[in-house]
Amino acid sequence: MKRSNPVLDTPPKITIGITEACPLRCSYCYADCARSPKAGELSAERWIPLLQDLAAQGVIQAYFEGGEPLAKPGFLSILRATTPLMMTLLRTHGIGLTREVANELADIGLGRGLVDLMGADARTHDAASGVPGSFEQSCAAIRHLVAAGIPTDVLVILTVPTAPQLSDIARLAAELGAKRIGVLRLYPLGRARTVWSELALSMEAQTAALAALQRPTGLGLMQSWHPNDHNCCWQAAAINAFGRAIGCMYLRDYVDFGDATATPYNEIFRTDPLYRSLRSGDVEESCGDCSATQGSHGGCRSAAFAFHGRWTAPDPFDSALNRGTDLTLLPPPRPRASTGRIADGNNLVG
Amino acid sequence: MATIWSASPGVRLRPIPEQECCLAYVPRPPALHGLNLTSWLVLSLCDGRTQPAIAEDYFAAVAESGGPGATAGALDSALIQLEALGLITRTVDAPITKTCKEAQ
Repeated sequence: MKRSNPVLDTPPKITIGITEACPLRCSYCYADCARSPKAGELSAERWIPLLQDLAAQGVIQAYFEGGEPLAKPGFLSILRATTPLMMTLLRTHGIGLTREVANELADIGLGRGLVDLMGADARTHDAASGVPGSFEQSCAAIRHLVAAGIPTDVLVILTVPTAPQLSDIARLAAELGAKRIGVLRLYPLGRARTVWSELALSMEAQTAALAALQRPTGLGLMQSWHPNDHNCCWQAAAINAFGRAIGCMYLRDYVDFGDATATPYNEIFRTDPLYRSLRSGDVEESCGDCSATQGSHGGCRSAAFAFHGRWTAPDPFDSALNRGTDLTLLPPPRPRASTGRIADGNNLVG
Repeated sequence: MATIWSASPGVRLRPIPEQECCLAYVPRPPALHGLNLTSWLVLSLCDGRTQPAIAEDYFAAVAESGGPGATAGALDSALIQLEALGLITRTVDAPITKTCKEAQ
C-alpha cells in the first residue's frame, strides 16, 4: 500500500546551519566543527539577503543552529535583519551568551532559545564538550535568556553518559527556568561516528531511559521515540553553512540538493527528485501508533538511511520498526547524493 | 461608535492552503501561531474595517463556501482570540458581542 505524508507546496519553516565554527570541541559534534569558520561558509553579508529572499518565498520561521551561531561573525546583524520577517529560534551551547548578549537578543526579537546540555553536572558536560567551564557557561546562558524574557528550552542528546542523568538534567532545566526539555537521538554523523561505541545505546536502553525520566511539574517534554516517531521530512527545509540546500540538518552528511544562493529554495523543494521522494512518506513500513499521533509515516529518514542504506527503510529508532537492528553498532558510511540523483530506486550514487 | 479592527503592526501571514491553515507571525513579542480557516478568514478581514462590516463579509464568505461555523459566536470568539494573541488590535473600544449578533 502506498503511504503518503501531508503535502506542502513550499516550506514555511527552515533550519539554517549558520556556521561550522564553535569554541567547544564536542566529542560527538555532528558538524565536525572547527574553532574558525570553514572555507566557503557564507558571510553575514550573504546570509542577510538570502534570508530576506527566503521570507519573500514564504518562509516564516528560521531555526538557527551550527556550529555555534553566536560564534558566527555578524550573527546578531543577521538575526536583526530576520526578526521583522520571521519567527526565530536559536540553538546554542551558550558560550559567550552573557546577560548583555541575552538582553540584546531580546531587544532584537529572538523568539526562542534552545540550549544544549551534555550532562547534569560539570564533569559529564565538560568531558563531552572538551572545554572546562563550559557547563557553567551553558547554565548561566539559560538563566540569562530566561531573565531576558526569552522562552528557553534545554536540549539533551541521549547517550551512555546522559541516559542515567536525564531526570537530573530535567530537574536542572526546570530550576534554570526552562520551559521544556527536548531529548534527542544520537545520530551517526560527523564526529559522533568516531565515538559511537562509547556513546550509543541499544534500543532497549533508550526506551528504558525515557521511561525512567522524571520531570518536574510544568516542564514540557519533546521526544520523538515511539509512539511519537515522526517522518518530519514532509515539512523539512535546511541550508548549511555553505549555502547548500540539504532538507534537514540530520541529512547533512548524505545529501546535497543544490545551491540555495543560486536557485530559489522553493524551486529546489519542488523539483529535486530525492527531496520529493523523502517528503512523500512512501516508505516500506509504517508504525500505526506513530502515524496516528504524528500524521506521517516511517519515522526519521536520516536514521533509516544511516542504518539500512535505503531511503524507504524503517526507522530503527522506533521500537515497533527496529526489528533487531543493533543501534550500538556504527553503521557503515554512506555516499553523499548530489542533486537529484537516485539509483536503484532507493539507494544513492554519489 | 463601531469598533475598528486592524492587523497588529508587523504581523505577517503565511497561508498554507494545501493544509487548510495559515501561520501568523507577530514580531513583538515574537510568536508564531497556527490559524484554522475561521480565524484565518477573520484575520484577513481585519484590515481597518468596522466590526459590522467584518461580520457582513464574514457571513457572506462562509455562506459562499458552504462551510459550517457561520455564527456570531464563532466570529466573536475568533476576534477575541486573535486579539489575545496580539494579531489584531481595536482602535475604538466597544463591546463586540452585541454588534456581531446584530450583524447576523
